[in-house]
Amino acid sequence: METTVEQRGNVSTVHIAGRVDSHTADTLQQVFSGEAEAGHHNVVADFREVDYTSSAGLRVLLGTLKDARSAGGDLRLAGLRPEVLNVLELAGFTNILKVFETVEDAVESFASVGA
Amino acid sequence: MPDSAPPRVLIVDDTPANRDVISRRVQREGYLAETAENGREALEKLRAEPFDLVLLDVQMPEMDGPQLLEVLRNDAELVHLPVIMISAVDDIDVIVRCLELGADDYLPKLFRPAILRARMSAALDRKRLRDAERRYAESLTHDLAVAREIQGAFLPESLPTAPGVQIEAALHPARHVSGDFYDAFMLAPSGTIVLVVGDVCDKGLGAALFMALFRSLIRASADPVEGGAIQMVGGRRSVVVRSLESATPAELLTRVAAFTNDYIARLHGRTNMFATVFLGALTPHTGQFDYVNAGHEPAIIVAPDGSTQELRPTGPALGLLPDATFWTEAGALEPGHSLVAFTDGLVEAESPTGEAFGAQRLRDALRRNNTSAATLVHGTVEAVHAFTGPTEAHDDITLLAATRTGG
Repeated sequence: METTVEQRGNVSTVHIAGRVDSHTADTLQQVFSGEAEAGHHNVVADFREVDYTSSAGLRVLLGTLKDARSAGGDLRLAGLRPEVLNVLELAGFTNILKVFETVEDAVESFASVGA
Repeated sequence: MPDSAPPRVLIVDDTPANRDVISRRVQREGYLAETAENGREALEKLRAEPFDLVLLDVQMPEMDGPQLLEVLRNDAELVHLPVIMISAVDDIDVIVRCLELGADDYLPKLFRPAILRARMSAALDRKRLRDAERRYAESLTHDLAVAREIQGAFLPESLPTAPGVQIEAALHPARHVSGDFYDAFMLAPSGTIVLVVGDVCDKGLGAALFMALFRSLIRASADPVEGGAIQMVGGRRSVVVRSLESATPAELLTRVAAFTNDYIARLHGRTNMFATVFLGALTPHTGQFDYVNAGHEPAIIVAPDGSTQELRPTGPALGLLPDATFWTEAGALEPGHSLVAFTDGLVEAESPTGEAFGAQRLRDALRRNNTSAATLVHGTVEAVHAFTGPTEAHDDITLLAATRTGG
């Protein structure tokens, strides 16, 4: 799994590529934690290049979501492939997380509420 | 070796004068020196009592240095014992061979005491480190074995039996301990059988700890009387017992899911742990079957003709956020039909080429094994194992089946 972070306005976009599983979840957690420590609480996770996520990855998303919201921000997802979306839907994550088709939509969604 | 005891050094040389000289030098370092005249005698001593280091001459009658070295490096007990070769200067080819065979170091026959001291000290330090690592690994292995045994006690000792219903389950952990669990128990007054299959997020010991918690919360809240949770309400016990016992299966399942969810999300929220859980309640004599699917892989109902029906989620995974809503789907398990609930380790099990077992192969395996709960469980697990071959399992595999025989 590879990640890059892009800062646009007050939104951090974490581009993720590869598999998010119990081997790579810690690395992803560190990337999200790094954003939180830098005071970046509006976060978009770009899932376009993610072909698999295990429950270890969902756990990272849950923790990041809770931390972001408690700091007044949010975690929003973009570009989920059908099989990854299915995993999130089954476990109920699509009811607690905002999911967007494109990264642009997800980034812009923060502006529309003045966040 | 205990860290306080002086290291024991075995000096192997066929020349008495060499043995005496080296022994004195070794003793001067505060080590215990033992001697052997050749490789054969040395091997007897090494197998009889523990040593920390061998100083080994090359040329000896009976069994020479390289021969002994080869035996040691092929002996499970002695493979890591440090060996320093002591040789005449013209033995350089033999020295190279000995180093290739696994000797730790070498010294020329005419050595300075300081060099002997340094080489012995380095070899003994390495051995101490290796022994410490081995003890640490052994204690971890022991702890994991104990954890595995204790975790086994969080699965039901036996599955409930009732006329007209067969229940079977299996759990194959990928590692020593597992984040999967299943449960099946009968509620005393109504005869309703509660069926549970759960999968705690992530893997390893953390998931295993939470498996114990989830299973206990579900069991205690579903069966407050036998589970003991009823004692928390003290004086009003009988009233509460009656109200719990008169709850419909749907009320029961919704309450269990909500209670377990809120407990984990409120008291353990900072760990971000959650579990996907399928909860079913089967009334054997009527076949009434209600379920809550909390974010879990859809369970499958298999009909006698092999057709299947998916029981999809009716709420989120347990523990995500407090106050989540769960609803119960009501249905029936007709005679000849089976309920099969399982964890995602089953559909995600991979072949040696990295292909997933998948939903289609699962349905095929269920159809082929659709004769009893036992064949559904064990036949399907066999099909998964045949598919994965000797590939190391990535995830735990759990499967529970309940068949209504209608008898």
